[in-house]
Amino acid sequence: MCTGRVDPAFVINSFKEKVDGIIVVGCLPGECHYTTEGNIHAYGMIILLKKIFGFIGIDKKRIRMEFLSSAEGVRFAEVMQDFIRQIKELGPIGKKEGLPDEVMNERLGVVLNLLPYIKLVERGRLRFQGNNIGKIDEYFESPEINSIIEKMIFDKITMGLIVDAKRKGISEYGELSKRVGIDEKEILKALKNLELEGFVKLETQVGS
Amino acid sequence: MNGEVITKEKILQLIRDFEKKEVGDIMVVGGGISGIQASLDLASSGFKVYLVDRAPGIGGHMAQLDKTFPTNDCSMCIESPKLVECSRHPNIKILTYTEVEKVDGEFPEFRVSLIRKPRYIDEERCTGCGMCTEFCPIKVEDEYNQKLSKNKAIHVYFSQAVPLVAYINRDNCLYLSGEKCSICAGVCKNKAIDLFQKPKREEIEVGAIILAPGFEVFDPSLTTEFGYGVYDNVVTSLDYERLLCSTGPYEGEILRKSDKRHPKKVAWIQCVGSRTLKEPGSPYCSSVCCAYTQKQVILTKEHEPDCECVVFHNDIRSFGKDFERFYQRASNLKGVRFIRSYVSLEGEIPDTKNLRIRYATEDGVKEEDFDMVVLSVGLKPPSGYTELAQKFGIELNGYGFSKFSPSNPIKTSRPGIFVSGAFQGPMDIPESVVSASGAASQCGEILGTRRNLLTKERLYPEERDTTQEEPRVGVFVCHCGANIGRVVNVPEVVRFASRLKYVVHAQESIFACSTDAAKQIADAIKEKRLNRVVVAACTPRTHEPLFRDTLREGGINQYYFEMANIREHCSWVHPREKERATKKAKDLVRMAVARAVYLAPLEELRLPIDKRVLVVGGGIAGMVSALSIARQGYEVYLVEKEETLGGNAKKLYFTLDGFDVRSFTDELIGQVLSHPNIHVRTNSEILDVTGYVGNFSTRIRTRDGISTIKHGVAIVAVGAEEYKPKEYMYGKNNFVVTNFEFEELLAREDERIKNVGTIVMIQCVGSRNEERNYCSRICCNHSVKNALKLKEKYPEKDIYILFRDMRTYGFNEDYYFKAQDKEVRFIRYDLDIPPTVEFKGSKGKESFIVKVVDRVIKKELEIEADMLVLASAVIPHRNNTQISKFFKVPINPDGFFQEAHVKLRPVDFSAEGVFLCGMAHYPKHVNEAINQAYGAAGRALTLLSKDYVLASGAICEVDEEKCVSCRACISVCKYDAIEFYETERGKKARVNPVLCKGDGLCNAKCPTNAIQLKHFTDTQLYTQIREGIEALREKD
Repeated sequence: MCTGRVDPAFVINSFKEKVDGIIVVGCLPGECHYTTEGNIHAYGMIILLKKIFGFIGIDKKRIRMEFLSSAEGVRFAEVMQDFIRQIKELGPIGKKEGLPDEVMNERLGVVLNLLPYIKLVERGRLRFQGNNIGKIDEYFESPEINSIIEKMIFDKITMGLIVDAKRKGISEYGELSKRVGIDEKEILKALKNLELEGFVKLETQVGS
Repeated sequence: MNGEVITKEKILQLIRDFEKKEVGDIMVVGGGISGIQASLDLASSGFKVYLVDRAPGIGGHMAQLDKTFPTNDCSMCIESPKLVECSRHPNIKILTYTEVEKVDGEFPEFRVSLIRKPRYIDEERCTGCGMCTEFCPIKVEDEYNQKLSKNKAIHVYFSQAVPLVAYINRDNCLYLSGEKCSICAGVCKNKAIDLFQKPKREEIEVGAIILAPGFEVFDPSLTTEFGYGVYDNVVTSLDYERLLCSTGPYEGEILRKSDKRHPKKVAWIQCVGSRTLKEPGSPYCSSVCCAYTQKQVILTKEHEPDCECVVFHNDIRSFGKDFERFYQRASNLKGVRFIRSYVSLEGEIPDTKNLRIRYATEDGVKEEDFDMVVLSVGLKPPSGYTELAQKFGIELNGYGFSKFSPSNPIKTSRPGIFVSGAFQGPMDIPESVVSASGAASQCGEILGTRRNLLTKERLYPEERDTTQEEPRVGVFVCHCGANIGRVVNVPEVVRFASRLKYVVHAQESIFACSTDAAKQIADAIKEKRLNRVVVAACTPRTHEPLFRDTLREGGINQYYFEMANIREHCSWVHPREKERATKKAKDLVRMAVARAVYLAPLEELRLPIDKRVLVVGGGIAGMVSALSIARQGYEVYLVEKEETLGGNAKKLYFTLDGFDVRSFTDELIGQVLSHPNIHVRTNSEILDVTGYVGNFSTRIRTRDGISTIKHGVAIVAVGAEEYKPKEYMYGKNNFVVTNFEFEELLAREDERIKNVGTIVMIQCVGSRNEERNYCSRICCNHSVKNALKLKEKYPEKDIYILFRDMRTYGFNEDYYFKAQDKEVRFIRYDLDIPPTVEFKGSKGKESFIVKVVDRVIKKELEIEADMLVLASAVIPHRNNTQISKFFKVPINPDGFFQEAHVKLRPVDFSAEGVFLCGMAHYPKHVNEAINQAYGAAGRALTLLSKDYVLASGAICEVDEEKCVSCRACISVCKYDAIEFYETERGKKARVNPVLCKGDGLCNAKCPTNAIQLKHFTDTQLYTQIREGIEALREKD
């Protein structure tokens, strides 16, 4: 089994279970024990998750990926101590972020439900080449990739959150905006999209 | 050999004739790591083996060591699985406490008479429970613990001993000395004690014999020089291993004999009994002491961070792979000093029992007191070596080790008898293992026709169908001696485990990996109808195969097993937080149990083996491997990139011991070219390699075009290259040459040499520096060889060797002495002040001024030289990176190939079916490369002699109903193990189980969880994670 086997669902579910931090440790880049370079795939997956967590209001520093060889016991201890120190500074999940349990679970739940779709987007639009970590970082910082992530993933998360909130009886714009964590203008845009797709009826909205 | 053709019929007849007698294929004499490896390789390649040891249990010296250099792996922990494997192997019969009386007959019909010494125990009945030991009234010195602690007159040799059977020390037993006592017989529930046992003679017929009697350590009590046996706090390095070890006299605490206090200042004295012309010591270098001392220093600092460690040494001989870095690691520790000086032990200080050492420094003679002194004792031939040689009819060298030709260090003077391990000469564990596999290969060469005739398959009880049962989990928590037990409260973990859901049985065990513990697990499976087993102990990396095997013994599928690593992940890393470590151990156990509940039975896949072999590289190593395999009846393709075979050997003209390497190489080339089973492809280049163990396909390009070679096994023997120096005007001046070039000039009696008066050789050019942080191993010997040859041909010439540490290890030390006799002048320099060279002469009249600071007399010397010879580094072959990618095998930071395990799998790669030998592994001498080449052949034979290999059942599988045909899995599988196939509902993914390697990347990429990595499914893994989270919550 390889680091590449770490399913994003494990990470999201663990945060739902109120874990405060997650570290994924893989083999050194270029030293895959298989040939599949799952360590590099895992790295890409963690970057994408960081972006998603950032978007739904969870501190990105709660998740980290490191590359270590089995001969680096001392470095492993250092890395772990550093990570633990960082997580202790952040404190319990949700608290620093100002997210009540219910809201955080709702948001993580939406991401979890969208995971099959997110995996397809990753497969179709977000694949990178090679195992150069610097280049992979650059790739994920590029405007094109970020635009894809925004349009194809963030927007879907927003829509999911709105549907979820409305199902719970929240329909006033301000309330929705607070619950979903984006400003009212964006909410309106998302609602229009949702109407087009037949998820909500806008006239009942406008009246309230 | 008597030239007789041994036919299958003849052998079968032989077997019928001797039906009532014990008949085997090979007898291995000596059950240390070398004998064990030889037995396992032979038994796994179709031969029936008798493994004979005079000690009460197998394991040899390795079983006494605490850790092993340069990785500091726990010695017993890596050896123990091999002991158990031997004891379980259906084709190995272990005879311990047994001496060889005589050997009659000749190859291939040896008749060996054995004397089974009385243990006074019925081996069949003894369970090793230790009850007798508990009640025995007589205390004796414990041999296993180097007599540093007491045991009883009746005891088991050591707790992981194989066989796990007690024995009685005859001299101390009251009953056997004629007094009244038979308490042991009274308390033994199994009636295993037999105080009337007599020595038993047994005759066994075998076709060949491997001698692996190992070594003895030098006994310093033979001289008064070091006060051993006189002063309480002087110990040998082997004593010290026991002190360091958790199963040692003080359970891993380093204590002084005089007052049982922890020493705060320890001195090591190197070369005790080695590198000396003074009797009873020996002139040769014991090769292993520098590295084991560095290991002991590192371990001492781990035990006692404040302990001051001082090593008094001559040359530091860190000539092995990764030894240089190991030396740096030890010497860079705080409070550690390495002092180059001869010492004298002045005596003991009466009130403190401290020891005073006198030594020389650059600032004059000093005296210093130490709490403890460790004597780094050398390796001597096994005790009784003269008798041994007589019994077996073999010749010895002047030091009592086996006499061999460098062309084949494994072969003795008598046909059918081979030698492996330290009886060849001082060597470390990997070399002992390599020569063992090599001896196995050579037995295969001469006994090939009887392969698979006497052997039988391992039989397991029928597997119980547990699929309809409720989970019934058994948990076994290991103390690992004191490794775990000292930190983790094991009984508390057991109590905790027994209360977990589905756990129906929980128990502790001192060593879960010992034979009796394994039996207890197997029995518990049957008696308690367990259908899941969790062992909380060490790492699955070394021990999972053993425990899986135990499950099969118990009659359940081996994949119903899970390990919780409470040693590496717990006790070793939290030694000072006992309570929290215990909590963590419980958490780990609880997680393991949670996963175990969801485990499913899996089938292993049989992969057929293509019996052809590809050897990459036609140097000595490649050719020897190829020949050894070809002689056993298998086809070999030997690919070489150059026009001709021979490799680096073509550059050699002489050797130190006078071995004619040129005719040897020519003869070898002739044999390779004419062997019907070997297909040589010179001028060839590998284009790509596909496949896996048993079924590789390699495309090569030769002058005749591109062709494909199908093979089941590959051996990487690509060799290494000589560094072309940038230093010392090399390449700019004709009178600056490398060692290899100088050897050629000498052989040709070149004008350049004839005309010069003074020659300066500079060692470590390009080695042991920042760029190449390793020792090139061969250059010291190479320079001494060239210097001696020069003195032989031109006695009048002056020659200087500027060195950092002379590393003429092993028997080559003789030639270092000889060179000094012949007035070769040796001047030591340090890395921080390397020699400088100025060109002084003119074209045609070359002259150099060499300046070097002599560290002994602390003065800068100026030598006017006419020629410079550079001992330039051995560097990895330029194609290594490419070869590494082709065969998916790793290379180390220095660029040499990285074996699967430094100590116990030295010629294997972690990728199955690919093996390694020669300088591709690390620089080495011709005889070492030959040992290794035979070793690689021996390992290859363990595969070739079978029709199939088993592949892990932990591979991926697609649930067709969930598959949405998105190709996400296919897009990431570089093994091309997943493909689409047509179904009624369109294309669906399907896994080719032969190609899947079980990394599980596809599983994480699948949007619908349709593809699952068996044994690591979403449910199995997430259940374990969630249990861990639950456990963390409880802490708060």
